[in-house]
Amino acid sequence: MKLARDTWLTLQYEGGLLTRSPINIAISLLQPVTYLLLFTPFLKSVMGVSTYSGAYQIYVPSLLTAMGVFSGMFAGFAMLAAIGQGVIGRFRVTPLSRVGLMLGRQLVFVLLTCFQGVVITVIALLFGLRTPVIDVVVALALLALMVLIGVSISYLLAIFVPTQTALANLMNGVTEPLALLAGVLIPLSVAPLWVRNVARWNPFAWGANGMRAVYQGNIGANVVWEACAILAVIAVIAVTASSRLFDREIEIEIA
Amino acid sequence: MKLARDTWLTLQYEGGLVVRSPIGIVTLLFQPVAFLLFFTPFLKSVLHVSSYQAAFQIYVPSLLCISGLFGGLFGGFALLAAMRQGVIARFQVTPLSRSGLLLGRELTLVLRVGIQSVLIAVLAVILGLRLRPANFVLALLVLAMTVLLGVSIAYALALSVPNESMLPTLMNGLAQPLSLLAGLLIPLTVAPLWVRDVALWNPWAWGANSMRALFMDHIGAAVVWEAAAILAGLSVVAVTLSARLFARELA
Repeated sequence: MKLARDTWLTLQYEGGLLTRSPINIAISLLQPVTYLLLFTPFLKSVMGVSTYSGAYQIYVPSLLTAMGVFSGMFAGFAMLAAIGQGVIGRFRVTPLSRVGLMLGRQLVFVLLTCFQGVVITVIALLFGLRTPVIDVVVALALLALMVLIGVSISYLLAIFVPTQTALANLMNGVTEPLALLAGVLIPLSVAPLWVRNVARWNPFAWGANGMRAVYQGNIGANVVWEACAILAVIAVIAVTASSRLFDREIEIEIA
Repeated sequence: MKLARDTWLTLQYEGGLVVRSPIGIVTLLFQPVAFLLFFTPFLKSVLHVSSYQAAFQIYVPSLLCISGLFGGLFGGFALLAAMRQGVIARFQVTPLSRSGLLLGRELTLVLRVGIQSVLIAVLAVILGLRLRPANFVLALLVLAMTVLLGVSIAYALALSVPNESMLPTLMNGLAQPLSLLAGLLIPLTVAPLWVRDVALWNPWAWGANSMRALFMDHIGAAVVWEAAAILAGLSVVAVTLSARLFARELA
C-alpha cells in the first residue's frame, strides 16, 4: 500500500515536470513520425504487400519497439542528471520508499512512450492503417513491458558508467544491436535463419513479433501470449534488480 | 595562394586535434558497425541478392553516405561550440583569411569522415566485400563533396540560429528526411515512383546512387559523372555562400 502510494507520488511529481514542457514531447515525436511517413513506402515495396494498410501493420509495431528500446537511453541520462543535481539525494531524505522512488520514475517513461505509441498509431490510422483498435491496448501493454526493461538496462549501465560521454557510447553499443536484431527496420520474418535464431534470445524481438501479430488482427496467435509472458517475467526481474542495485550504489555515492 | 596556405594551416591544426583523440573516431564507429553487421543480413534477404558480397556492394555505399550526411550536418555543433569558447575569435585576430579558416575547418570534417569510411570499408572487405581500390577512391571523392555540402549547410544554419537547444532539432528535422529519401536504408531502386521522383531533388540520393554504381564496378555509368557534376556544382556554391556568411557574421 505504501509502495503504491510512494510510486504514485513520484509519478505525479515527475509526470508533472514532463507535461509542463509539451514542446519536448512534440520534438521527441519528430523522428518516429518521419520514419513512419518516409520509411513505410520503402518497406511496402520490399515486403511485397499490396496496400499501405498492410505496410503499416508491419511497420508500426517495429517503430514502437524501437521507441521502447531507445526510451531507456533517455532514462539513464535523466537519472545521471538527477543524481548530479542532487534531486535523488533530496528525495531520499523524505519518507518515500526507495523502490517507490525508482518505480515512479520508471513509470513516467512507460506513460510517455505509450502516449507516443498512441500518437503514432493515430497518425498511421490517418494514413491508411486498418487495425482492430481495441486490440492495440494489448500491443501497448507489450510496449510498456519493453520500456520497463529498457529503462532498467539503462539504469544498470548508468550505475557502472557514471560519465555522460562514456554512457552515451555504451548505450549506443548496446541499444543499436538490440534494436536491429529485433527487426525494427525490416521484420525478422524475412531475416536469414541465423538472425532469427539469435533473435530468440532478444526480448525486444519477442515484443516486436507479438505487437505485429496484434496489429495484423491475430491477437489469438501464440506469439502474443508467449511475448507477454516472457516480457513480464524479464521486466519484473529487471526492475527489481535495477532498483536494488541502484539503491545500494547511490547509498555509497551520496554517503 | 594565401587562401590555400591559410586553409592548410587550419586543417593542420584542427586535423591534429582529431588525430590526437583516436577514441573519438572509434566511438563514432559503433553505430555504423552495428548497422554493417546486423542490418546487411536483413537487406540481403529482402532484396533477394544471393551473396553477402552483393549485399555489401549495395549497403556499404549507403552506410558511408549516411555517416557523411550526419557527420557533415552535425559539424554545426562543433562550430557553435568553437564560437562560444572563443576559439574562432582568437583565430580572427591572426592574419589568417576568414575563408581559409572556414575551409580548413570544413576539410577537417571531410578528413574525419574519410578516415571513418576507410575503416568501415576495411571491415566490410574482411566480411566479404570485393571492391577495386580505384573505384573506392572515386567513391570517397563523391562522398567528400556530399560532406562539404552538408557541413556548409550546417555552418550556415549554426551561424543563423546560434542556439544550442534549437539546433539539434533543426538538424535532425533536416537529416532524417534527407537520409530516408536518399534511400540510405533500403535503396531507391525498389522505392515507389513518387519517392524516386522526390529523390531527384536530393543531392545525397545522387551521391548514394553514384557511389553504389562505383561499388558495383559500373564506373562508366551515367549516374557517376552526373552525380559528380551536380555535387561539384552544389558544393562550390554552398562553400562559397557559407564562407561569405561566416565573414559577414563575424565581422
